Amino acid sequence: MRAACEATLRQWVVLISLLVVVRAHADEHGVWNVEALMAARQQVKSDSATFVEHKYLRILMQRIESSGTLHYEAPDWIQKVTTKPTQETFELRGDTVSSIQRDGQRFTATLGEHPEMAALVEAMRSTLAGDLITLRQHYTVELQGSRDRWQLRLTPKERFVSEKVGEIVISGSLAALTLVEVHERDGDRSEMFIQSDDPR
Amino acid sequence: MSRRRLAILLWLSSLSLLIIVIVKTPFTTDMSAFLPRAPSPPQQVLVDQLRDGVASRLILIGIEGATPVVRSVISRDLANRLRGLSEFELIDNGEESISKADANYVWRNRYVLSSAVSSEHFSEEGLRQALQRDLELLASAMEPLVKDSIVHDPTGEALSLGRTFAGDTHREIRDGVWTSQDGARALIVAQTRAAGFDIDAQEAAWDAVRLAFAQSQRKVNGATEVRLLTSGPGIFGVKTRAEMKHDISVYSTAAVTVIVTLLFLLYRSLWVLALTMVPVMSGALAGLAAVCLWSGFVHGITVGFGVTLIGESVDYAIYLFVQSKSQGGTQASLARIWPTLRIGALVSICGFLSMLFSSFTGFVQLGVFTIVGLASALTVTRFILPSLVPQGFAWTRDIVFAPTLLSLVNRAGTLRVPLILLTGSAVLFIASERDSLWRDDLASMSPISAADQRLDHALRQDMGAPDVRYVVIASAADQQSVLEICERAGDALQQLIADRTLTGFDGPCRYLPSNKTQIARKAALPKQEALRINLAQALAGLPFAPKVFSPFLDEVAAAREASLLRRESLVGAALAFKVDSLLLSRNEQWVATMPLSGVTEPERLIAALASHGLSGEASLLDLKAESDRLLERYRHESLVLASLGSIVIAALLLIYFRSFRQCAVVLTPLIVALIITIAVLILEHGQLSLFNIFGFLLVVAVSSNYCLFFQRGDMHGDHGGRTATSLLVANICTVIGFGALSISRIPVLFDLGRTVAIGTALSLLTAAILTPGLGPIQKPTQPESSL
Repeated sequence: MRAACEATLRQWVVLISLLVVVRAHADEHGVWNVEALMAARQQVKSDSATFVEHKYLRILMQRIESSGTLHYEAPDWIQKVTTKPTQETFELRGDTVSSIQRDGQRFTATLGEHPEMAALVEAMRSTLAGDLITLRQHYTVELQGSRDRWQLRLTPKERFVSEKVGEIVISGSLAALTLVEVHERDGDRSEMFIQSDDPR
Repeated sequence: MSRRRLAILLWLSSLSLLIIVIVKTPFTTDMSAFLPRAPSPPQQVLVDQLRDGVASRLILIGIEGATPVVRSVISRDLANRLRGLSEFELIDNGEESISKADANYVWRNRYVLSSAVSSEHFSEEGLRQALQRDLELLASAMEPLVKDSIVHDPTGEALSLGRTFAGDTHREIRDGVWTSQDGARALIVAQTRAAGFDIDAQEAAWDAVRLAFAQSQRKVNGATEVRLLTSGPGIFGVKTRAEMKHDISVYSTAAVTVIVTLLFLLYRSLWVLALTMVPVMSGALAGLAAVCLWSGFVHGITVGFGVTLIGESVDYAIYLFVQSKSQGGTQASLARIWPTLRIGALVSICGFLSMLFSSFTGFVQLGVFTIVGLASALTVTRFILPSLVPQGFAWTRDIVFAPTLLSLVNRAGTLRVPLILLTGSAVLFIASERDSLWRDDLASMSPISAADQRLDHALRQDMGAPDVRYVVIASAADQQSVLEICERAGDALQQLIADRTLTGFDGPCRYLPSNKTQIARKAALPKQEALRINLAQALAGLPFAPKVFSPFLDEVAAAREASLLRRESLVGAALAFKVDSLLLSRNEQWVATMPLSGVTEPERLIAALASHGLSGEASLLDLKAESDRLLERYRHESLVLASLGSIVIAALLLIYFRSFRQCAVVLTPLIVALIITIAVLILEHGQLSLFNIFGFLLVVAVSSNYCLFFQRGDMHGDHGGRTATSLLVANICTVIGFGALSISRIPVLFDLGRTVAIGTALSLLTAAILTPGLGPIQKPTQPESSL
C-alpha cells in the first residue's frame, strides 16, 4: 500500500534508538566518546521503561500526546505498549512489525517491503551490537556534550532515507537514555521522553 | 518355398513392422492417463485440479541449517536465480509480498475493490467515525505507515484491502525473508509454468531448483551447512515415476534373471531356453505395437506392466517343451496340448477384454497389450516355434523329481476335506469383514513415502498454505454471472469467519469485482459537492488542519468517473495470475474457485451457501470425499467389469465343454483359490484395493490353464510327470515374476504382484486337490479336439 510504502521513518528511529542507548555503561574514568557508548550497549540484554511521546504533524492543528511502556530484549525484540490515548500493542520481532489496535485489529508489515526502513533497522541493529562501522555506513554519527548530559546526532547518508529524515537526536545522561527526537524533512517531528525502570 | 520357411519369413517381417510402429510412437509418462475419462462435474474439477490446478504447480522449498543470516542470504540469492528462469511463473520468498504494479492497482481502484464502500460509509456520520479512527491511528505506532495516506484515504479502504489480500495467516519475516513461525526454516514457494501432470517439465523445474540452490550454496560463505528441502505435487509425480521405473526395471530384471536361470537348470539347453523366450518377445512386441496403433501413444506404466505378460506367455513354451516326448517330438507334443493351450488363452483374453471398458486409459492400454500379446504369443507358439526346432526335436531329459511330484499330485485329493473347511472359514471371515472390505482412501494408495508426506505436511503448515481439502466452486454461463455468484458466496463465507467456522477464503471477485458490484460501489460514492459538505460537517471539532483532505475529494470524484475494471486492467503479475488461476472458462462454462482455510464445520458452510440461495450455483467441494468417491466409482466399475469377465469366461467354458460338470471342474479350484487369496490379503493388509481386482483378473487368466491341464486328467506315468512338472515350473515363474513386483513399495505394483503370486500358487494347489479323477485310477475326461 502506498501508506506503507511512503511511511516515514521517525517511529522506527524512536523505537530502535532504544536499542542503541538503553543504558550506556561507560567507564567513568575513560574517555567519553561514541566508541565508549557503543561498547557499553553490547552489554545490554534487556530493559524496560515508560515513555511520553509528543508528535507534531502538519495535518493536525495540535500535537498528539501518547504514553505507555517500552520493553527491549536482545537481539531483536521491541515492544511498545501505548495505554493513552488508546490501547495499542506494537511489536518488532525479527523483520516483522505488528500492531494490535484497541478493537483487536491487527496490522502487520515487513521491513523487507520497505527498503528504506530496513536499511535503517539494519543500521540500528549494528549499533546495538556495537558495530560502529556499519552504523557509519548509514549515518554520520556525532556525539556532543558531557558524560552527564550528552547528545548523539545521527544524519542519514543514504538518499532514500535522507529524503525523509533530516536528523535524529538522542539525548541521555550517564547510562540513561532520556529523549529521542526525530526531525523529518516535511516539518513533522516527534519527541519521546523516556524514563528507564531501572536507572543506574 | 516350404510352408515352414514362409511362416518364419512372415513372422520375421511382422516383427520388423512391429518394431517400426513402436519406434514411431511417442512414449508418455503423463500420470493423468490413469485418471478417468468422463467423471461428474465436481470430479472434473478435482481431476483438473490434480492435472493442472495452481496447487499442482507449486514447489514448496525450505532452507534449513546454518545461521538465520546465511539462510536469508541463500533465500534471496536462490529466489533471484529462480526469478530469472523461464520454468517459473512466480517466486515468493517474502521479499515482496505485493509488487509495485499490484500495489498501484489496489491503491488506484480502492473504491471499487473495497467491500466496505457504501453510501453510509461516506455520510457525515460514516466519515466522522473514520476520521476519529484516523486520529487514533496517528497517535499509535502505526502513524508512520498511515500518515501520508490518510489525506487520500481517510476511510482506510487501502489499509483494509491490504489486510484482506495479505490473508489471515500471519507471515513470519526474519532477516528480510519468509520463514517458518519458529524461524528455523527459510521458505520459498515456486510456481511452475508447466502443469503439475507434465512430469518431464516438473522434473526440469525441480532440477532447476536444485541446480540454483547448489550455485547459491557455492557463492555464499558458510552455506555448506545449509540443506534444501523440496516438496509439492510435481515433485511427488517425478519421484513416483522414477521409483516406478526403478522398481519395474530392477524387479522385473531380477525376476527374468531368476526365471531364465531356473529354466536353464531345468532344460540344460541354451537352445531350448532361447526358444522359450520366442513367444514372450513376439507377444510383447505385438502387444506394444497394438497399443501404439490403438491410442497413438504408449504409457510408460503399460510397458512396465507388460513385463507381467511374461508370467503367462512363458508358460506356453514351458508346456510345449516340458511335455514333449521322444515319440513325435515337439510336433506331437504340440498336437496334444494345443486344445488346452487354445482354450486357456481364450479364457485369459476374455478375462482381459473387460479391461477395455475401464475408465482408465492406462488400464485400457494394459488390456489391449495383454490381449494382443497373449494371442500373438499363442500364435507364435503354435505356428512358428515348431518351425524353429528341427524335425523330430524333443526335449527328452529325464526330470528326476517328476515321479515324486506326480505321486504328490495324485495324493492331493486327500486334502479335500481340510480345503473345504478352510474355504468355509475364509468365506465366513470375508463375510465378517464385508463392511470394511475396501480401501477407498486415495491417500492410502498414494505411492508417496511417509517421510515425504511428513515433509510436505510440515512445509505446508509452515507456509500456511490453504486447506487442500475444501474449496467452494461456482459456475455459470458467463464471466459476470460467475463473479456475481462468487460475491454472494463471499458474503456467506464472511459471516462464517465471524462465527469462527472458517478462518479465511479467497476468490477472484476480490481482485476483479463483477460489473454490477463495481457500478453499485461507484453509485455509493457521493458527488464531489455532497462529499465536500459531508466531510466539512464530519471535521467539525476535530483537530485536522484545513483543506488537508482535498486529495481525498479529488480521488473519489475520479473513481466515480473511472471505467469499469476488466481482467486486462490487472497488469501486476501476482494478482493477474491469481485471477487467472481462480477464474477459468471451460467449454462455454465459467468456473470460479474459492480456496478456503480453517474449515471446521463443512455442514454449516453448505447450509450458509444454501441460505444465501446459492445451492445450485456455488457448492462446497470436499476434495477428499470427492476423490474417495471417485475411487469408489472406479472400484465399483472394476468389480462390474471383473464380474462380466468371469461370466464370459464361464460361458466360454460351457460352450467348449458342453457340460456343466466339466465347467465346474475347471472353475471350482479357481473360485476356491480366489476366496482364500482374498482372505489372505485381508488378513495381511486389512483391506482390498482397486489394484487387487485387476490382480484377480490376472489370477483367473493365468490359473485357468492349470485347471484345464488338470481337467484333462492326464496325470499318470512319464507323461503325467512331465505335465505336473510343466505346471509347477510355469507357476514358479509366475510367482517369481509377480512376487518380485510385490517387493515394491508402490501400491499398484505391490497389490498386483502380491495378488497374482498368492492367487496363482493357491490355484495350482486347489486344482491338484479339487480336480476329480486324479489319483491311481484314471478317468480321462478329454473333450473332442483337433489341431
